Amino acid sequence: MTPKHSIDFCPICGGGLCGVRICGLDETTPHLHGLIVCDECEAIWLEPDISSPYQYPDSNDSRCPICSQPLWGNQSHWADGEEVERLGWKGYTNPNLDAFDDDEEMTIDGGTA
Amino acid sequence: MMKKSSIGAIALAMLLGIYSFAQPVLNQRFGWDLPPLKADQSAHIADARDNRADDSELLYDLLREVSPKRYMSPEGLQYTPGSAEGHRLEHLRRHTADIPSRAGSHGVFDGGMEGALKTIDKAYGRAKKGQRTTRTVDDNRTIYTVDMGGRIGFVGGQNGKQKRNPMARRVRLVLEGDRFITAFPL
Repeated sequence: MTPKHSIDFCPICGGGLCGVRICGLDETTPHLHGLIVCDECEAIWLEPDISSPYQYPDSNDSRCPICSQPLWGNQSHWADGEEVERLGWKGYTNPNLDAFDDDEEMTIDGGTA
Repeated sequence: MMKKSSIGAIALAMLLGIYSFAQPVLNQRFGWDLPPLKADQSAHIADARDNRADDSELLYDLLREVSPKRYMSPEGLQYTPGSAEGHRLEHLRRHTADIPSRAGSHGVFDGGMEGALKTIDKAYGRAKKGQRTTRTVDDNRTIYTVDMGGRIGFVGGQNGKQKRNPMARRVRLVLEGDRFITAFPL
C-alpha cells in the first residue's frame, strides 16, 4: 500500500516514498508517535527530515524503534491528513507526493499504456 | 511441511516395497502367479515421482520452500515474511503491475511474478559476480543496481506515464545479506 502522505522520495533506495506513519493507535503503547518510513526499503527516520539519522528495522521482525511494537502491526498505519496534523508534521509533507484516493494497480501488457 | 505429492511418492514406494516382499510369499502359500517387480523398475518409478513432486513444489516455477513461508531461489536469494504486505513476495507483486497515480516512478517487471523472480535471480547472479553492477553497502543492507543489457520491464507511475512508459533495463535490488527486501526495474 502506498503512503497517503510523504515528505520526499527515498534518498537511499531511490524508488520509495518516505511516508508518514502513525503508531500507538491502541492500548499497547502509551502515546501516539510518528515515523517516516520508506515504503520500498523500509528505512526509518524518527523525525520528518530525511537528512537526519535513519535506521533499518530487523527484516525478520520489523519493530517500531520507539515503542517496539510490530512496525506493520494493527497499532500503526500510514497516516491520513488529520493524523499528520495531530503529529504536527503537516508542514513537512509534500502534497505532490500524496496518494490518490483511486490509487489502483493496473497491468499494462507489453509495457505500453 | 510435507506436500501431498511427497506423501504420495513415499506411500507408493512403501507399497512397492511391501509388494516385492509379499509377492513370492503369497505365490508360494496360495499358489498364485503374481508377477515379480524388477528392482530397478520400482526404483525408477519412485525416482520419477520424487522428481515430479519436486518440480511441482516450486513456487512460481522457481522458488523452493525451505521452511514454512520461507523460499529460496536457485541463486540463493531468500524470500521471507516481512514488509507492509506481510511477505516479501507480496511486496514484489506491487512491481508486477503499474500504479499510474503513484508519485514519481514505479518500476514494473515484465512477465508477472514468474518473470520478475527470474529477472531478479539473474540480476542477483550477475551482482554476485560484479557484472555490470554497482554496489552500495549501508549498515546491514546492500543495494545493487544491475544493468541487464535489455528490456526487463518498464517505468510506470506518474513519471513513467509522462514519458509514455519507457522500457527499463536495470534492476535495483535491496538485500539484507541474502534476504530479499525489495527490487524494482529502473
